[in-house]
Amino acid sequence: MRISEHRPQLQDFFQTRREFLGRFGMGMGALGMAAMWPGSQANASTALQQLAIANPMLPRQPHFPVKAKHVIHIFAQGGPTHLDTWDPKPGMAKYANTNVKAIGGVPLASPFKFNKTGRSGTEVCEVFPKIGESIDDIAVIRSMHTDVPSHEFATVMMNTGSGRMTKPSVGSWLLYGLGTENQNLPGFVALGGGLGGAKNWRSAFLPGAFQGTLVSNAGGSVEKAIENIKNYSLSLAEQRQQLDLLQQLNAQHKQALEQEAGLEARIQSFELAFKMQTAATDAFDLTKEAPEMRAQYGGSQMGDRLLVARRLVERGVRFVQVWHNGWDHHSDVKTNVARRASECDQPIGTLLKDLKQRGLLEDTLIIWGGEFGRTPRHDRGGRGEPGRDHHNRGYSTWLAGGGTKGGIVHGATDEFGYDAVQDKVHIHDLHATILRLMGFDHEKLTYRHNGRDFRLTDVYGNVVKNLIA
Amino acid sequence: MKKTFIAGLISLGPLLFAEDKLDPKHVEFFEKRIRPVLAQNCYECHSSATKAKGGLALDTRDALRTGGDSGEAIVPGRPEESLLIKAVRRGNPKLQMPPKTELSAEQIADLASWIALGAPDPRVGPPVGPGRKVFYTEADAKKHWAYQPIAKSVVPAANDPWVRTAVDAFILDKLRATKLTPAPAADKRLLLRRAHYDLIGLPPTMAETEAFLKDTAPNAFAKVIDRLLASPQYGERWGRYWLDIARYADNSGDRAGGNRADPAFPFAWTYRDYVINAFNADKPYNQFILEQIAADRLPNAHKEDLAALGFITVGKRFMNDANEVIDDRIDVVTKGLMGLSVSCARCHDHKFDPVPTADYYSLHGVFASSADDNAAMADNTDTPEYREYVARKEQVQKDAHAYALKEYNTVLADLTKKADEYLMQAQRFLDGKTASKQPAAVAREASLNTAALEQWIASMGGWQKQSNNIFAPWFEFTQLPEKGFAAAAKTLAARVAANEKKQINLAVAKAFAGAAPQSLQEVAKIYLGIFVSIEKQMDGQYPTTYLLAAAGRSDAPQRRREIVKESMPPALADADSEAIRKALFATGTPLGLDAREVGRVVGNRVRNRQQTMLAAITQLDSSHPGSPLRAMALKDAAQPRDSRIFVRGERTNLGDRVPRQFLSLIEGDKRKPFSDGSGRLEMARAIVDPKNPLTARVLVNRVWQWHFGEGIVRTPSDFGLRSEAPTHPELLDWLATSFMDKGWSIKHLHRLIMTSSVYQQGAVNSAAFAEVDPSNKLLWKWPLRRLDLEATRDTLLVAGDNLDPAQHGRPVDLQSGSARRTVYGFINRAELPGMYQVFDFANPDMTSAERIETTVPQQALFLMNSPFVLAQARKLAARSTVQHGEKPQDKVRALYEILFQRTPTAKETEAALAFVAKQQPITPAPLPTVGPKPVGKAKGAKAKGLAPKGRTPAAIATAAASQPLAPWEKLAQVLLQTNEFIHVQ
Repeated sequence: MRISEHRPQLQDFFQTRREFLGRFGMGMGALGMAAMWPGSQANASTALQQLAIANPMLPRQPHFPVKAKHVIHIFAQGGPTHLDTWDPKPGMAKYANTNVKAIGGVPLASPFKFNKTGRSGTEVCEVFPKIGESIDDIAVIRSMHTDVPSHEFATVMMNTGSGRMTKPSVGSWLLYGLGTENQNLPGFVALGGGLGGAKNWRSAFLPGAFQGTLVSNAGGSVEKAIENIKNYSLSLAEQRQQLDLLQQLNAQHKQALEQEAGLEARIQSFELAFKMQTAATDAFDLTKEAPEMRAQYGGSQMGDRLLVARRLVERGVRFVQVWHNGWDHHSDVKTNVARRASECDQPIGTLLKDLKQRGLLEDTLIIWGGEFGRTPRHDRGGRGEPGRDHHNRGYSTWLAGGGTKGGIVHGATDEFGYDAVQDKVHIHDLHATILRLMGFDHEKLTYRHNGRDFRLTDVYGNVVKNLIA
Repeated sequence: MKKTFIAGLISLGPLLFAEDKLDPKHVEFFEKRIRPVLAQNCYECHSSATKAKGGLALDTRDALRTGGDSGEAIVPGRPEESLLIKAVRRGNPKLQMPPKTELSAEQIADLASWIALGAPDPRVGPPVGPGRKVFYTEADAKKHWAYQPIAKSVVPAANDPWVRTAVDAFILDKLRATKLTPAPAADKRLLLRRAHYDLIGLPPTMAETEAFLKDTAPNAFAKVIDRLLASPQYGERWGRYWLDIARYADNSGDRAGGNRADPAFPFAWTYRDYVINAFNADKPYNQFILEQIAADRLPNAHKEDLAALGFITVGKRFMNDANEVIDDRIDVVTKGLMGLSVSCARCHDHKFDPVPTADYYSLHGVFASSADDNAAMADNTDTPEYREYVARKEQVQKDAHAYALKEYNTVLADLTKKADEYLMQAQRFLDGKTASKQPAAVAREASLNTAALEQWIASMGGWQKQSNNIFAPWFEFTQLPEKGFAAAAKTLAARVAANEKKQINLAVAKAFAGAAPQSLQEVAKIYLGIFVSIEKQMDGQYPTTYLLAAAGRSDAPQRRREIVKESMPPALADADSEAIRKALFATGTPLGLDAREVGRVVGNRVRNRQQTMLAAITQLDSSHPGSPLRAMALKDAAQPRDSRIFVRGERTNLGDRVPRQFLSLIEGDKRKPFSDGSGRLEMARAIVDPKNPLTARVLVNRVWQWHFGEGIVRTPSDFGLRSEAPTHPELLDWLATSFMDKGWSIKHLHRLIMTSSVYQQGAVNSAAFAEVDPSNKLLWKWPLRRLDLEATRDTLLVAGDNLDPAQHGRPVDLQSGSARRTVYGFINRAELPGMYQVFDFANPDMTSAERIETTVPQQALFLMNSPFVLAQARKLAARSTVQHGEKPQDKVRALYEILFQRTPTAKETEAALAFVAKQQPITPAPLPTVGPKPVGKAKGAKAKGLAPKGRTPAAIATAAASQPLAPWEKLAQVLLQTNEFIHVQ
């Protein structure tokens, strides 16, 4: 029996604080051991919180057994138009040149064709042929809505559940809940970055260890990925000698202090750091991939980011956020959407198939979407090439893998794609669902801070059961 | 609406009239037609057993009749007035239930009939769980220790030589009760090191250690405490603790650019320095609080003290969301000073403490009645630096204004040139001749600007109704039939030109002299000619844009009004031309677009660029030597006002107006509304009132926690009902009393605590004691402590003998090689540097009572690889006692004395020497002066494209950093990484 299947009870850890600190402090190397979040014991979550602080990266088991272990969030920033990607409204053409009060202007029909694709027959826009090949693994949500149609607010809202307050990001919450499976890599990596900066991947009041690590240039230098990962003055062999001396001195020091657990944890952390130098370099090194594979991913910036994302997930990184900026199309939807789609269709299409082929899709949740959608009406009073304005009342997002129900379309907007009307999914609902897919009851994954229990979904959120296989 | 704290756990009893026995037919109706509807559609979210959204449960009679946050759910007998019926009918877009599926018309009719019947409901008995969720009882709240007056504790009789102070007596009393004994006293070397880190955040020198070891006087340690408390470095250490409470940062956390206010806080540091000085001066804590909340209102306050108000103002700015800013300020004041989470009562009565929402909005009113005010702290107006600063600032403003003026005038000149087209389209629109009834659609079709066309339509609509001597002829022309237009128009033009009754503007009349327009378009062209000629006379000075551009967004409203007056362009000499100028180009006229509309025409481009230009002012404020010292102060609004409750925290859902006053929890029946300005000073006085049971206790507990790592109350910013009970309640009260008796002196507290035996015991573990008291609540040993970010970095600089002792002043960038103490680093709230994150710096977005302590490999990586640590290792090895040590043993000894103030053991020396002997000696190559000539290993690295390029000083520094380490430097680095280095025993 694997030790993780033993599912230790909380009291195993908490007979005394000292004992649990001792066991976990010394056991950082013994990664088979996993603490488990309690499904019901209310007070236990505070104790788990302490455990998570003491050993932030140690793997923990969620409330429920689930398949999903990792997340790749492809964040299409700018407010991708749902009407030209995942929410076809063929009926709109007949309103050309008519002012429709309900949408505050003249409807702009999509210039793109949609084809029923796969066994599910989900309509896939012609700009996404490669993604379309995996459509039966994808659950399209057409009834998303959010609070405010302004970029920064909505972007941070999508990533943290709050547009204004500084709250921990989704990745930080998951890292807090689950720890991570590879101690040699950061558990939460943001590839690219964009509007709102660190607010999108920060840990806020959660421990700093749960903060996302920004890697601006995936496939580039590992130093940009992880601060202080390289040393130009010392070789690994020299560092090993230093480390040996350090551990010898630390052992003498510890003896005098009768095995304080914190000391041992720190001793271990130096060993981890030493190993991290090579492991992390390897994870970000795309030359380790076959050139054909790199080409299949597109060989482009997006391709490299997604390939790195796959390499990270493969190595046990918990949450990878991949930024794809530039979806803010106030004008010329036709050219611009086609261009953005061409940047990501091949890479995402390859990612989905590659993960599936490696057996990773079932434990990796893929999220694609932006911070809001776009208006059905012409923007800018119709000047210039037809574009669309920001819109928060209805838009689309899709999920794949990690226990999502593939090949479905969830929810609907009205005939113009203006308001989500059927099975509406608010950002908080999406977050609740993501947490559920990762094994958590979003109301119980809490963190006590300054006398208040915080959670990702604040006081909101309903799990969308239909999205879960 | 009723206000009750305790609706939950205890039965509310019959709230309305007691009902007579239910009619069996009614019961049947309920069971068949009502209960299933409620159960299937409502219970999921509104059940006292599971969750009650909006505070409403519908699964018992009592819960249903109690209602929720929005008030009563039903009014028996009156379905039309019942919220429940309104919700299911979905008339109000904000109140539509059930949220996802609509009830059928039949179900709605049933519910209405049932309420009309008086809502007969057989579901008797008390609610199963809370309706309005409140998790405490009034009895609990009344008994809660922290809300009791601070008691005069009796010091337990001890009769034990261990007991040096009253503090010890309380500690020993508890230890004895559990049969534990205190650890033996720490050795003097460790004690000195502990005291140094504790009070000034820096290690002692070997010389200081030796002096202390030699001093056998009974008060030797007391002298050390006095020396450290008198050191200016004390304030840098303890001030930083307070800055965590104050959620200090040097910027607002908002993004720069666009129309946003500049995120930099150029003067936040004046608050940081105020705090450091206050600690050094041992400013009485009550005075410290008064100044931090209301320095602007204190009699006899000095101008410099205004900086104290940074406590309120250095928080986040939430993209200028006023209510979030107020919430942040309420939070820092109540949690930071009283351990009370009043901000939890923002949306509903506090669930765990007796703080009603009304009290939150009482404080909201206080802050809503206070405005930010960057007040000057000193007068330097008579210096040449100041004059240069002002001149440069004015130049920036002038440039920004000139830029916007030019852009705006270009836009308006373009619009003027097309005035005839606008005139025509506006007329067609007014006559109902356009295809669309939407100005936007009309504008689009005619390729005109929507905002401008709307303005034309609005103005002309007005002139059509009210006779106007400029456009009266125009309207006459529009009445002419299309057939025979030319002939009729010629006659009309002649009549206009003649202007016999003198009712027509002379400039207009003149323009029609000899005119023979063939169509209305041509009439419009004639008008265009008039407008263009007026524009020429104006010489490009469009009055509205002139004003608009002159008044930058950074100017105060008052100043903006003044600018508007000052910069009104001169009137035209000719009265008739002036009349046209006013009609066409003044604010609110077709070509007198106001700021907003010009913005709509040109988009945000100009405004954003202007903002960027004006941002240079903040740069001048924060860096120019003549920039006067300013405080991020507050001032009371001229018209203080009470706030209204936001029901459920929603600003659109306004409830009762509540007076500005203090918390009912503290003041009880004696509470009176504030009457002096905003009420800030009265609030501050209520906080420091010796009868306030929280303030002194909270502070005493914080000081204890900063000494011992854990407080007597281990939830330092939460003293409410969910707090952890104090481990030593009598000691807490005794300390609080003593603290207040000694003039609220924090230094007095330090002396009390540090001269006690409990402080001076060793960090000695005991497996047996750990079984009894695993988290050392009873303090049977000194808790081993790890250095925090500041102490770690500062000590590394001390080790390398290059800590810059400069104090105070503008923040420095620690990433760029500054050797200042960490407390002077620029704190970028929007993006904390990695080092801050990795070493568990306090989150500057909210008040922080304690630092989290994590152990992650990134901390080790910092000590192994960061250029900063490598540089310190080199400097440490280069210190004279190390470098000039005669024998290798002497060098090792020198390193240990610098770092640990002790001689190494034989084992340690042996290990160190063995290590050094194994290392290859190096001959460092000379550093590049012109360009980077990679040395040693960097050569290989560069070949791989990894080493940074360039000839900048930074690149040269990096090249220096990538030189190989000499054997002794390697040893020095190892010692900087040891557990002994980073822990305080």
